[in-house]
Amino acid sequence: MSILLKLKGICFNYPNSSKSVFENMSFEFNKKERIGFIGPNGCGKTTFLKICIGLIRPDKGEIFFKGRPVVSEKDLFLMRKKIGFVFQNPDDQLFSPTVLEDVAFGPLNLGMDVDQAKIIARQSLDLVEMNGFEDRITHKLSGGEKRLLSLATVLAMQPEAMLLDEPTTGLDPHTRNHIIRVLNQLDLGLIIVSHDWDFIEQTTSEFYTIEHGCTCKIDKDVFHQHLHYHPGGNLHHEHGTAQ
Amino acid sequence: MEQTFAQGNSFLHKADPRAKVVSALLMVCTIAVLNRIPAAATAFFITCIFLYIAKLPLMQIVKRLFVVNAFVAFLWLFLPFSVPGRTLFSIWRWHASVDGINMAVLITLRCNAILIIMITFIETTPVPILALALSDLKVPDKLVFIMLISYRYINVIFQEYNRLVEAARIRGFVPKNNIHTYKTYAYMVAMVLIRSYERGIRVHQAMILRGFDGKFYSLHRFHLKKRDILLAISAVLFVASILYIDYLPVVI
Repeated sequence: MSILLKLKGICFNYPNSSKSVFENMSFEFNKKERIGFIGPNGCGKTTFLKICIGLIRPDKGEIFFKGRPVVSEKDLFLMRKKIGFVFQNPDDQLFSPTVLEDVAFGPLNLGMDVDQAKIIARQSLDLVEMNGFEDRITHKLSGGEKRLLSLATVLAMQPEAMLLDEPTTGLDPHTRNHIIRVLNQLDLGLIIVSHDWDFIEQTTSEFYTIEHGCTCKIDKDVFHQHLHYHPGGNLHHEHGTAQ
Repeated sequence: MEQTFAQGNSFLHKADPRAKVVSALLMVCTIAVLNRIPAAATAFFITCIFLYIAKLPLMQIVKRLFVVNAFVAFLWLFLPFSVPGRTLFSIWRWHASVDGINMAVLITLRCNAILIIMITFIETTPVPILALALSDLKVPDKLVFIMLISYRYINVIFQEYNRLVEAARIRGFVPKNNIHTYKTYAYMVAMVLIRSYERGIRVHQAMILRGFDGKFYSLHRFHLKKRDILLAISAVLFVASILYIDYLPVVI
């Protein structure tokens, strides 16, 4: 299994805070691995993703992409061609007037000509099951449609892995299932940060959290109960069976 | 942003935007330097022909022209009475000079002509395609991006401002003439600025992560046709004849 991304000895804390987010953190990500990150708010999950993709430079430590150190802008450019990042807020990711243009933005920047870019864009829309949306105006889409579209824009770069930051926030069950279906049909490595345990469980196979400034794998099953109340609770019923 | 004039099927709507921009620029620069009424009147008359060719909704045109002419009307109140010259008529103590009235007429004709050219040539193209045309005409990429991103996000920012205003109202805010009101509005404007700045950073990051390197690409392709060359040539003829009329010695 080849290692796609490797972080070594990462130390980082935000300028105005005394508490360090990462202390000597190391992490390896193999091609085609599917990893879910859970944890409380503020533990550093989004920071972790941003360090992986080079949006935040760690105070200490090194990043390796396919074995080579990522140092210059050119290294970052090569890494970002192969590792896609889906932001938490799709509005920040959709800046072109129409859907087709937004999805084609990535391929055009990678040097493809107009016809090739259009073909790849249509294929990506196909992958997220959004055919027919080509001429729609991006900022007039619904929240769920924007979310799926932002996924398509990253898929158009044809990456080998994707990093997703809270992909199911604010989604209704129907769109959520749509995304689960789409992610499971893709043959890519995934790192997903989410609070939605059921979502991570259905899309990833290994679970991590961030504790004491390092990433730790969670491999012990812990038996626990969820308590809640609603009308009719004393009658026999089930949850989570609707598809 | 609603682009009411960009929808349409006329010759001007279908012409190549690059030809339109170059022609419009030529004509506007010429009209701006005209010195005398005959040339300005001819120019204005020809721009009315453009209006007819573009088949734009009349009500909207009138509304647009009204705004500019309100400003021009304001000038009419002052120019005739402040420019020295032979008196044409008097109101109480103030004398309206011929030169002043000439100048007011000239300004009115030029303003309206220029505005009509902008509406019929520039506003008949959707903004993203106009941006591509400008980029093709070698306008710096940074300026083109500013135009595109402003167009894309101006509604978003306006909605954010509205949300802040609503949030204040829900908590009992009533605008009055006091420090609390000014401070509140100042905070809201500042918040919108800060949020826009941070949004700008995030959008920029999203663009970089998809390979953006400063250059402008688009799926749209232009096709220069014979009619566009004709358009440009007509613009040059227009410019030449207007300038000629302006420089002809005329008794008026």
